[in-house]
Amino acid sequence: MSQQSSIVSGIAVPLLRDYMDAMTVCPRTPAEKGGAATQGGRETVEPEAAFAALRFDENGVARPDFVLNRPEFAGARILISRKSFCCGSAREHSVWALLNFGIQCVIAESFGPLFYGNCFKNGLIPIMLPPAEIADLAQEVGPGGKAAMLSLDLRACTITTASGRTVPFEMPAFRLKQLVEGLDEIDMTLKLTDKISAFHAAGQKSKPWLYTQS
Amino acid sequence: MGKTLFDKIWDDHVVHDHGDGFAVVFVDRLLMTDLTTPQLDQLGQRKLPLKFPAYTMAVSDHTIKTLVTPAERGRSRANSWTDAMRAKAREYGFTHYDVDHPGQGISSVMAPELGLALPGMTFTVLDSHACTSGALGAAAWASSAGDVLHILATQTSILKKPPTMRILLEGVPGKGITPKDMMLHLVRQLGVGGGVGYAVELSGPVIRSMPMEGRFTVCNLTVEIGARVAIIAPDDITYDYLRSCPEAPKGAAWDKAMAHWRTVHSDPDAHFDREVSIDVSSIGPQVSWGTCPADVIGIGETIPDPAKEADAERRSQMASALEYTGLAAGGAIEGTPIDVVFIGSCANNRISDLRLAASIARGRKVAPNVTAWVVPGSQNVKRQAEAEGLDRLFLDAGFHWAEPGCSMCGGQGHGFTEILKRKTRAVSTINRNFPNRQGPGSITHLVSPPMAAAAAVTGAITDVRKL
Repeated sequence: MSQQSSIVSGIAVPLLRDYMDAMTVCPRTPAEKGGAATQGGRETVEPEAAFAALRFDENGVARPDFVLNRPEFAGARILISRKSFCCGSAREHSVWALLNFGIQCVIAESFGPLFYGNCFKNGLIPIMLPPAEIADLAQEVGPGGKAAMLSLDLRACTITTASGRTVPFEMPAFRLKQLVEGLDEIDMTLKLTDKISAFHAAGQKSKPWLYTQS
Repeated sequence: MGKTLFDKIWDDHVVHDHGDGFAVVFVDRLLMTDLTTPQLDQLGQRKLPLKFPAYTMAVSDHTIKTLVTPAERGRSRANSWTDAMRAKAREYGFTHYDVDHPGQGISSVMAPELGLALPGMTFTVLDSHACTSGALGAAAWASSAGDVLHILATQTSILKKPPTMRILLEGVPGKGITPKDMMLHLVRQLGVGGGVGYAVELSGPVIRSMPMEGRFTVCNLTVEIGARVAIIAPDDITYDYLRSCPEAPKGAAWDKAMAHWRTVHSDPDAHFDREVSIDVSSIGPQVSWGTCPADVIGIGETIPDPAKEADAERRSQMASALEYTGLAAGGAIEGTPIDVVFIGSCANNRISDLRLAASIARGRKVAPNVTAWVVPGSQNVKRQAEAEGLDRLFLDAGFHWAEPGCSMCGGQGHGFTEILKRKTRAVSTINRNFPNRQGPGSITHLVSPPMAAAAAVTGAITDVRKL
């Protein structure tokens, strides 16, 4: 993962729906359907994959009324949604589709647990706020709002609106450190190899039927 | 204060505490599917070794061909996904239950059946219904693709400890009411958001007297309220089941394991963050009318009217669901003509499910305009069904008898081609009726296996109790 800046500023787009599921955030990609040899990783997900069924009609023509297609939200970096954003499927493609589309941060009431975990593996910033805060932020940036700009400070744990209003958010300390320092999760855990080995060695004594690896 | 069953397994597996409820948790077993090879590619690209091959397994279930002619069984069901996993299994030295393996099946059917999941264990699959194995008393959860790579490299996962919830199933179910009916009723009562993120323990008199196969259906459907984990404390029914599982411990190892398993239950004074009880006494056979697993009614009820719904958001969801399924508010669901019946999936294709469906199909014929499929959950289920003559019974009644796999449940079978046509109305024993689930534009009604068989032979959504 690349080094991450602790400040994200950009246009925020409100997509105020509950239970926006992973297959809606990123439908199955041609690479996924093409066979294991071509499934690949983030590079196989086109920016067009994000919310494809909502953004484009059956002929691939952009739906002008869909919020992400509106000119005032072009180049959005922050997405605002509601309950259980990206619930369902365990695929990592939703995170990749959002990142490749240009989204660096998703603010929502809650997240699908698998998506939430995948965010930190890829440097996408998931922020949880209460429903009233979501509604207020959406009001400020939404159609007819003052301006669509939000600024996010990971070190201060604040979101600042164009009008200068500051909204605090919370995030677990180790997750913040991971995002701010751009730490790779596997590298973080590999530093715990001694602890993992000790756990396994103790398990081989207490549960030999389970820990069978020699 | 006492601990819940889930708390005990969690505490038993924490390797490192990250604070704020996050921990590095040891993963006792990882089961991959034919869709998991990209993570093994990434492991290789990062030049990392596979941490514990003995705790790593794979099964071919999602993309393989299931709707076959007799000549197409065995290796001919392989494809680029399964061949890639076969090569990885050889390279890394883990067991692969490939298309021609006698233990092959849907991950959540074959894992418990073979004893790959056990009480007190942490167990994960890159599959949203991984919690099915929790019926054995394992802490079983679905991992994301990124989690799988982390497990391959470290045998651990970084998890936030989920809050706990206990659901008691109470009452005396009516004649012919299956675990599937109980769970569809439960999802309707609690909603698709009713248990989001919880580790749910299912208990109560209905669970305690339920055979093992019904418990798998129960844990399978619990994910539809958003649960992270579904778990049932092991008891004598569990132990009797495990005794015949080939990969379960044997001899002295069994005795030692049993001593531990006996401790795998919630203490009497354990605290749950949430407790719910559901009475299943008065429910009839259930059927879904909409586009989420909470859009369910009893077969005798009328289709709900969005106009009578007070909550504006729910009202609009209901209206769009009815638009998708093409049903009329206020009408009867019974008698709705159907096109396809699909008896399969990790929710309902174990031997007891097939026996129930066969009891309805016996001596009857599939209706002229209906195509009906029976897809056994595993090679073991298939062999047992064939030994009992169920394959002949289904074939004589006009059903197709298929090979084990996920098949048409998620629209991925045979390289994403085993799907229903647009506007096809299916009655299915699967667990999800989301839009496009079984194919773009197709409509799914969730039911139990006997209800599915009843629909097949009458050509319409039918109250199985009337046959």
